Amino acid sequence: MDVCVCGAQVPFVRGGAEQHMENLVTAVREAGHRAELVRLPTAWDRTRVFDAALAWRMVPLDADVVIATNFPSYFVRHPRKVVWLFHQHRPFYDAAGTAWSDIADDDESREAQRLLATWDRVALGEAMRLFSTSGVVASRLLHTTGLVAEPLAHPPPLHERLHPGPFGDEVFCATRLEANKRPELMVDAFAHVRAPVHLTIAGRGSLAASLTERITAAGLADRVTLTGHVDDTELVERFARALAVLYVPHDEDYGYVTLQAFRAGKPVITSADAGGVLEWVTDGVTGLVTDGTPAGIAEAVDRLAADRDLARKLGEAGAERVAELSWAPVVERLLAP
Amino acid sequence: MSDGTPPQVPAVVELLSDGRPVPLWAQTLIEVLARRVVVRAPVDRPPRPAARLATSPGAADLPLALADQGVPVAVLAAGPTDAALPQVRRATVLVVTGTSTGSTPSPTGGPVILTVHPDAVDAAAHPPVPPFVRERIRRAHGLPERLLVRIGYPGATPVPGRLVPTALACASAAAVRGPAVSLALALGTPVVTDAATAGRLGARDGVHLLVRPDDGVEAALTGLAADPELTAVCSGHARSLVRRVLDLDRAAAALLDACGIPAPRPPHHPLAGLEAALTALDTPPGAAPRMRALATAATLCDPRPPVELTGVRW
Repeated sequence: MDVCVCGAQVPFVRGGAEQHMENLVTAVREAGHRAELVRLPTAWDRTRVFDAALAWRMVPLDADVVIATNFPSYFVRHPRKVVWLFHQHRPFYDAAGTAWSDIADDDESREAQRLLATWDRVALGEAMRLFSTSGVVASRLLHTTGLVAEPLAHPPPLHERLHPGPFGDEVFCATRLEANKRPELMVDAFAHVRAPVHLTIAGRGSLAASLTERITAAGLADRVTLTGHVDDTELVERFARALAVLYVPHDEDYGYVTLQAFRAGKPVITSADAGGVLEWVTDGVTGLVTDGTPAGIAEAVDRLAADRDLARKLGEAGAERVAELSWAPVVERLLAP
Repeated sequence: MSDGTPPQVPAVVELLSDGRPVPLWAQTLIEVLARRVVVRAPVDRPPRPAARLATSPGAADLPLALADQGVPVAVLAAGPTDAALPQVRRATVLVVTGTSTGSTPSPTGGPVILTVHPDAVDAAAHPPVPPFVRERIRRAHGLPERLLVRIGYPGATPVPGRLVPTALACASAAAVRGPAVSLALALGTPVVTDAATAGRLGARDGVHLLVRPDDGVEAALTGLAADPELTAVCSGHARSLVRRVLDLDRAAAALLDACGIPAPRPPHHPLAGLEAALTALDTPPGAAPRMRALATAATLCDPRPPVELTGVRW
């Protein structure tokens, strides 16, 4: 079959969604089909957010199947449209009123929300099949549009290369340095950590400079490191050597970091409001779920630093939890007749 | 604002009346028609009408209109039996009310019968308001977190007619009977009603709304308002139902089609696809994305000033 995977493009930005699309294309090709990734630039601000949705509506796509992924690519029209929803445009929905949303408490904003929800319902409702990356995404969709999506989990990037290793003294996280990922919370937590462990955060983002200042101001320069971008080999090794992985995003859609940590046999420390992360991290089973305060997170770090057997046990349970994840059944579900 | 394409001469539909008030559905149908064509009283000036619409078989000018062979005539009638009236048999279209929607050729060779649901509404004029937006509206305007509205039920505090759409657009859930039910469904209001009303609209319990006997309405209303998943599901399905079978815009399009009046823009027109896409997405007239799409199309127009040609700007 000829399959077009559709996704939004934000020039010069690369994160989990981009990796997800690329890995899906690879998986579809490995299943014996022809696959292409089709992307259109998107702007997220309130005034222009409808433009790309309408552009997708008008794009002529000749393929046997289209698999639309994130907003606004699912506005594409095709008789055999399958949607695997990474997320809706969250600044208009659950994130309205937060720092990363330009939806305010005014009539114009509410009308924009109303209209997008109406459009979403039409565009997503016409899909032949509607999947989501996680239960959290499905739940948000149900509450905002009344549409039902089936969660469909998939392996994280590098899942074949990630491997367990010794439990060192490094608490690790690979994440974009953006507000919804709350990297500042990790830094603040380390001001409370008593154990002689180090926090390393890999990744780039708009908060890099302010985080560096925060680390310096807190006197944590020798305990917290921002590496910036690291290559895949280093990423795999850092996961392998970590004591634990710290990941405390706000209401995450899916969260590759969690699954990558588990593939490396590491426990994940997270917070009770981390969204999709909690579909994988069960407190005391595959990681530690904290109250999301710096002190609470620090306590969890100290606990694992003091009890390496517990860290190993939780990490092994996490590894077992993701052991069955693979792309073949995902592609099979997406392309089922 | 110009959309950068040659303007078309809008088709004209002349309205023939017998002077009596027309029912609400017919009044709204005429309003909806006016978004697609020019609706005017009979006047002896160009352009020649593309069709004539009599608001009843007794319209004074109907015989004269029927004699004008080149202009199709549609007649709004009280019921299908009006098709047998001699002055109606020669009409092109007979518009009647009924619970099914659509047009059918007359079995006796008379006019095409176009059926319009008596509870049909102007869906574009009443866009849906999803429950999570309702919540934000209530918060912004200091309304109760759970706003329960009751219309048409005994003992309910009357809602003044002009405030009914507003109340239904803000409500967490509404118990509604009577003509306001289809309006509530168009607005995506989570609705509780009785079996007869639901049956008349073709609405299903638990899908488009909740059906309860009178003594179960209050409990259902409270429960519905407290169930975000069910309200979202019912809200979405209710709007879909209205667009599918209760939207007067469909009736207007069918009426014009039956009279041989083409759509405002032909299918090959560059803007036709855009407009169709916006309409399919349930975008109201005048919504910001429509304006942005038209403005973008205008940037592609030939910058030369328009030339007057036979009275039409091309």
